[in-house]
Amino acid sequence: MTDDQAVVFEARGVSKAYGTVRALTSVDLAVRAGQITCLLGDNGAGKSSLIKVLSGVTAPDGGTLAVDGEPVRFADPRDALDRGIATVFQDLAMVPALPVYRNFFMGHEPVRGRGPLARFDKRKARAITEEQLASIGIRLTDPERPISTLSGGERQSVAVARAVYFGARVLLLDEPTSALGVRQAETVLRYAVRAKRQGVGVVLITHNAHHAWAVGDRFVVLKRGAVAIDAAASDITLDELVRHMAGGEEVTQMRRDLREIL
Amino acid sequence: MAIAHMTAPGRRALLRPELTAVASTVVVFVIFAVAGGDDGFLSALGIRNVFQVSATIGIVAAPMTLLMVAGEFDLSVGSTVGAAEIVFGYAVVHGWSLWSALLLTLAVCAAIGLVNGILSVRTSIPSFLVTLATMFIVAGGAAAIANGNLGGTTIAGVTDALDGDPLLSLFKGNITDWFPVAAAWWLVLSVLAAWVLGGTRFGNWISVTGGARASAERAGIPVARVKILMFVLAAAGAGLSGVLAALGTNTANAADGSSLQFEVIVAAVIGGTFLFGGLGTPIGTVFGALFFGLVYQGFYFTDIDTNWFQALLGILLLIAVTSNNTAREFTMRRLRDDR
Ligand SMILES: Nc1ncnc2c1ncn2[C@@H]1O[C@H](COP(=O)(O)OP(=O)(O)OP(=O)(O)O)[C@@H](O)[C@H]1O
Ligand SMILES: [Mg+2]
Repeated sequence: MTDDQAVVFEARGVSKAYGTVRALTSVDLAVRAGQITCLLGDNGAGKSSLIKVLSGVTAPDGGTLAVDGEPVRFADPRDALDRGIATVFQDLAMVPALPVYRNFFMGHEPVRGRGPLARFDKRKARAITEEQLASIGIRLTDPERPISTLSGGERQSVAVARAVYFGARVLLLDEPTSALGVRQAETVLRYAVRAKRQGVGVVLITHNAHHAWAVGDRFVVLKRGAVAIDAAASDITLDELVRHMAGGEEVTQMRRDLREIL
Repeated sequence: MAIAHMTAPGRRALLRPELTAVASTVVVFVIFAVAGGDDGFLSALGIRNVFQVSATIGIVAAPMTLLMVAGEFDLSVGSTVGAAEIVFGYAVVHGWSLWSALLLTLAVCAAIGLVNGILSVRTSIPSFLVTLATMFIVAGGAAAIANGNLGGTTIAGVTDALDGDPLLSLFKGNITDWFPVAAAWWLVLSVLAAWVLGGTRFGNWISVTGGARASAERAGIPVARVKILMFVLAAAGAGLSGVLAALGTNTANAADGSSLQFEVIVAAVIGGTFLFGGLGTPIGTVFGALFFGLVYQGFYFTDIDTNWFQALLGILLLIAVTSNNTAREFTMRRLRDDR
C-alpha cells in the first residue's frame, strides 16, 4: 500500500559473522519514510545484529548500507546519527539522577553566550522538554524530577521523542516494549506511530506479533540470519505472520498446553 | 505519599543531594559546640582552624567532585599536594616571585593530572588503579628529588622568602580573625565549580559523561577530553592546596597531604556525590569538607581519648554516608510512587 514511499535507508546483502557464528547472511532491508518496518524473528535470528550494523555500532563483513541511495560507511553510531539514523538502544543509557530535560538535551544543550562555558539555557530546555512530553501524554509536575522516577515506558518514549526532536530520519527501536506492561508498551507504540506520521522511517524489533501487527506497515522476518519473509501489511495476515515467525507454532501450541495445565 | 502533597519547590529541596550533608554538618557542629565550646572550639581561633582544615580539603574536593561526576577518581591528589609544596618551596627559596612559583607549581600539577587523565582514558585501566600508581610515583619522586637536592624532604622559610611580595596577602593569613584567606579560595572555587556543573553546557557534559558514557559519545560529547580536563583540574586544586599549606606553615613538606585523597573523596561522598559518576554537587562537598574540619577540630577540643579518634571518625563517616544513601533512596522511591 505505501511501497511508493521513498526508501531513505537501505541494507544490501549485509553479512556479519561473530567467529564461526553467522549472525547475518546477505540480508536486504529497505526503510521507507513514514513507514514502520517490523523486524521479527526468534531469539538469535540476528535482529539485534542487524540493528547494530544499521546503527553504526558494528561494521558489516559484507554488503553495503545506503542513505538516500548513496552508499555510506559508518565509523560509529555518531556517524550514523549525523546521517539522521538514530537508535534507541535497549539499555537506553540515560543518566538516572539527572532531570528529564538534562537527559533530553544531552549533547544538544541550548545555550546563551558562546564558548565552552556558555550558559545552559535551562528555561528553554525545560519548556521544550515539557512541550514534547506533553504531546505524548507525559505530564511532568516538576521539571527537576530525575528521569529515574519515570516509568520504563515513559523513559522509552522520552528517548524516542528526543531522537525525533533532534532530526532523526530513521529510528531504530530494538525491543522497546519487551520489558513493559500493556499500557506502557502502548505509550511507546503510540509514539512510534507519531514519529512515522512525521515522516520518520521506523524499524521496530519485537517478539510480540500483536504489537507488530498493530503498528507495522511492513514485516520482515529473519530466520537464522537470513530474510525469510519481507511483506507489506496488505499482503499478509496476522495468522500467517505468527506462523512464519520461527517458533510461532510452538508458541501457540505451548500456550494451549499451558492453558490446560493451569 | 506526603511528598505527593508538597509543592514543587518543597519536593525539590528534598531531592537536593546536599541536604543530608548540611544536616550531618549541623549535627557534628552542635555536638562539638556543646562538648568543646567552653574549651575554645567556639573561639575565633577555633573557628579559624575549622575553616583552615576544611579549606585544605575543600580546595581539592571541589574539582574532585567534578571529576567524580565525570565518572573517575584521583587517588594521587594527596601526594600531589606534597609535590606541589616542594616545587613551590624550592622555587621561592631560589628567589622566584609568588606568581611565577605558583604558575610553575600549577603547571607541574596540571602535567600530573594530564598523565592521570590520558592513562585513564586511553587505556582500559580504571582510574582507581592508574592514580594509585601515580600516587606512589609522585610521592616517591617528590621525596627523592627533594632529598637529592636539599638533603631533606622539607624546605623551611617558604613564607619568609616571599617577605614583601605584593601578592602574599592573597595566599596567607586571615581576612578576619576567624576567617582565613584559604577559606575564601575554598568557597570561591566551590561556587565556581557548582556554577560550571549546574549552569553551563559543559557542566551537563560532565554529568552525562559520568552517568551514561556511551550515550554521551553517541550525542557527540567529547568524553575523553571532558575527563582529562577534570583530572587536570583536580591536580591543579591539589597544587593550590599545597601552596596555601606551605605558605600557612612557612614550610614545604613532601609528606603533607599523604592521606588527603581519602578525606577529599569522602567529603564529596558525604556531600551527595555518587561514587559511580553522573551525580554530585560542589556545594554539598563544601559541607562534606566542613564536616571534616569540624570533626578534626572538635576532637581536639574535647577530652575524648585521641586513640579513639580514628575509630570514632570512621563511625561518624559511616553514619553520614548511610543517612545520605537512605535519604536519597527514600526520596526516589516516594517520587516514583507518586506517579
Ligand atoms: N557479540 C557477539 N559475539 C558473538 N556472537 C554473537 C554476538 N552478538 C550476537 N551473536 C550471535 O549472533 C546470533 C544472532 O544474535 P542476535 O543478538 O542478533 O539475535 P536476536 O535476533 O537479536 O535475538 P534476541 O531475540 O534474543 O534478541 C546469535 O547466535 C548470537 O549468539
Ligand atoms: Mg536482540
